[in-house]
Amino acid sequence: MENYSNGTSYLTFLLNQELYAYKVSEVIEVIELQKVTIIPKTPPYIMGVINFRGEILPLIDVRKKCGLNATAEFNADNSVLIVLEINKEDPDNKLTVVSIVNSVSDVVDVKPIDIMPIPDFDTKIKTEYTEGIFKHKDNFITILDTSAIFSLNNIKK
Amino acid sequence: MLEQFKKKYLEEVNDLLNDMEGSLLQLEQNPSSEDEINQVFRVMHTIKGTSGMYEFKTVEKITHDVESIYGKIRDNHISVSKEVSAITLECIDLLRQLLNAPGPDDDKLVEQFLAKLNTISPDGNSKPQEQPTMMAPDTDGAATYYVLFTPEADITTRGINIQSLLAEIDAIGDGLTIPRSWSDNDPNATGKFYMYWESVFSTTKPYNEIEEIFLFVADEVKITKIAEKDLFQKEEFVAEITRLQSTDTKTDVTQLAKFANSLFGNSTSGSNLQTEKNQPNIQPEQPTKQEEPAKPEQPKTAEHSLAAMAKINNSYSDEKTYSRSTDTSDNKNSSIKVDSDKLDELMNLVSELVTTKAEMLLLAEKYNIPELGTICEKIDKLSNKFKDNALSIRLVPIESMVLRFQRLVRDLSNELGKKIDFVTEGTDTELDKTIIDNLSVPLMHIIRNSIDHGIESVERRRELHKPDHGIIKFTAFYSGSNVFIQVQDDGAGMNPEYLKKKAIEKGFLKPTEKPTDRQLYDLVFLPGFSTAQKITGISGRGVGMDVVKQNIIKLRGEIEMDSEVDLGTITTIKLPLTLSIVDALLVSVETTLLLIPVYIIDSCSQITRQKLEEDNGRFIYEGEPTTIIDLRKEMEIHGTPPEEESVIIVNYKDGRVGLIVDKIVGEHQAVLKSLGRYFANQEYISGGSILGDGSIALVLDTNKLIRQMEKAN
Repeated sequence: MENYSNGTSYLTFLLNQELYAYKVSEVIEVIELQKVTIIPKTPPYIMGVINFRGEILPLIDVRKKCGLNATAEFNADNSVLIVLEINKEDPDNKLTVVSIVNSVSDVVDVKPIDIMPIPDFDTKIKTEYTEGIFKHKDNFITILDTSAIFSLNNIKK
Repeated sequence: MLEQFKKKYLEEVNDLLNDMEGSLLQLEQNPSSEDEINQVFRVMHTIKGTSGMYEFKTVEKITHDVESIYGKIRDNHISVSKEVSAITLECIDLLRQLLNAPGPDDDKLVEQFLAKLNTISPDGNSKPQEQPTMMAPDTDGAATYYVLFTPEADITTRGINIQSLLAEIDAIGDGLTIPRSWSDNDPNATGKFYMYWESVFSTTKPYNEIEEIFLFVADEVKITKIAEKDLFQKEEFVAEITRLQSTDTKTDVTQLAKFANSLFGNSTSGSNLQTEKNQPNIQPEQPTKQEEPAKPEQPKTAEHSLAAMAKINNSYSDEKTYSRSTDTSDNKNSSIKVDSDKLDELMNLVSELVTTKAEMLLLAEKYNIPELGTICEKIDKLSNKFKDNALSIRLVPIESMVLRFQRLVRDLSNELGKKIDFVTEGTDTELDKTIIDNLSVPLMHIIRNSIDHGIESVERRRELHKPDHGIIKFTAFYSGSNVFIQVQDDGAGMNPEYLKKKAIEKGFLKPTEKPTDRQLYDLVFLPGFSTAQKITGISGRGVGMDVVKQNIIKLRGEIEMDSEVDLGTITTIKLPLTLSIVDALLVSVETTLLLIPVYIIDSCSQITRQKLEEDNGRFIYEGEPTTIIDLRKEMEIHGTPPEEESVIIVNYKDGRVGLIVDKIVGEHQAVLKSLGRYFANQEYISGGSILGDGSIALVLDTNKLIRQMEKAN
């Protein structure tokens, strides 16, 4: 509450025991794991589609998309779904996608000045998929670049 | 916000233009139809009004001028000639271009158009509101002028707006402007613009105000004062001007002045002729008294000539126009325009309702509550009605599209010098708006083919003892949940022998093959198979019918052709009523649910892996070896197949293909949903549908699936 002005709110979540964040303004809802319908012949990071309030939405495994370790399978006990709406301002590229993560943890306000670039030695996630990193309660939290991760330009057949 | 209004305006204008195009084509058939004349008038008037509101000045101007012509037609002063209808069609095209695809040359086009228009309606550029000066009995200080305006050829490039000049003359007084074009061998025409104008008007404004109008074109204008009177008060003068208007030679201004003077007694013939700049001050020599003796003979001169003027000038009062336009709009069937997004939203809600209803039915069955079952039935009925109703909103009559074809036939047959009657039947048949929108291009192509290749030249038709006029018949009708559209011509037809020869030449057919006529006609739909014996600008470039077929398939439709040499060709298109709901068979492979549209299914059968192995992987159905596709393998679904599997046999081209699935779940009325852009590249899954329990079934596009398999092999 202390830094209410000029800050951006971020939803932080756990993925492979690491903390990441999405902009709260892009989050529509956090829901529990739904029945996933697999679509044949899609890249591995597209887990399939789910029914979200009558809409059919793609379910994306960010770990596989961003080259993170993805050995642990998701199941109803270790995962939640974050429904995101990205590129809201651009009607041509507006997209609703669902990101599967291990758990959501917090909503924090971060001032732009507190966001730092990712240090080079941190090789866990490719920097092209990130917007920066910030420190919160002794933890470093990586902000993910939703537009880079979910944009359609790099879907392979 | 403004953009939004503009969009609405454009939509409205486009609709109106379509209406008008229809009326015009009707009018060509029946030039005296008052309804159609009024309709054109009304459309022009409406567009004029809204264009003024949105500051589309050019559009306002054009529509105003055309409107005046139709006002005149309505009042029986001119008739609907070929020129009139041609120029009105041109007006439609021009307006469409101006509004939908504005380009840099627009101004020039408009100018040319208006100039052309002026040749039809000599005073098309009159202001909508007539100056009331005519009405005033006091004509003191009034004078009648003759202005000859002969612009140089480069007038348009000098940034001079001829129309606004003419409009200014018009505004300065009462009278009329006669547009003329130079005769071919007129020596005066050298270096001149192809048109020139003569204007005769009376005004109370001083001479220098008239001069001011022509400030920038002073060398191209000659202003002559004919009389120090408002000559238009004299019926004879009006008659004379009307006569001059109907001739096509330049007015002899000296003669005109003499004539004018004769009306007031012969005393000073020609002496009061004042030419250009020489005589800015008024000569008060006109003996007003001389007017007196004339008056008793024509007691109502002023009124009469006024009426005559009104006729020439087609001055109409605004009230009259408005009352007419409201009258006609009252008669029009009341309809409202709805944003198509709202319709989509409604369809989504309806499909949600259908889904929720199914959920409830599941519950009723699960807990075996009979009361709930009855309620469910009621909801079932209601939601079905709701669904049908919502669907019907999206349906629009085919008529809306047929106009364009009428126009096409008219224009093309004129161009090719053929005589063709376009006959329609069942144009009130309704189809989903999306289908209609995507249908007009393929249909245009088919009709174009009929005009170009089908219908023969008049000479050829006579040789064949056919009537001079060829007929292209457009028919639409319902059959079950489908709509059929047929385009039939009584032209040359397709020669199977010729098709065969061509097909062998191009390698589509082996010389040994013995195809049926039907198979030969189907060849026309293959890419690169153009049979046009000569390539015309209209058709015959080898792309065409294959694209047509692709488009029809995209609409989940089918197309076929039939033909008889010298009797004609008939093209039949079969289409679903709507694209958003499809009756499908629900099948499963492991937990994956798939929907196969019922219309494509031939039959269902059973199969075991064992039997399949015995037959070396071949599947014999009704004695015929049939290609099979194992969906489990194709879709890379893991697991063990059941002992006995189901085969869904679907139609593909002229044959059949079997699809192996685990089992058939049942029939399902699927509300189609897009999978979203993430899956736009998906080869053979055309969408998804949400089932009663909330799970998603994938809709199979079997044609694509099979085609893809064929390619892979």
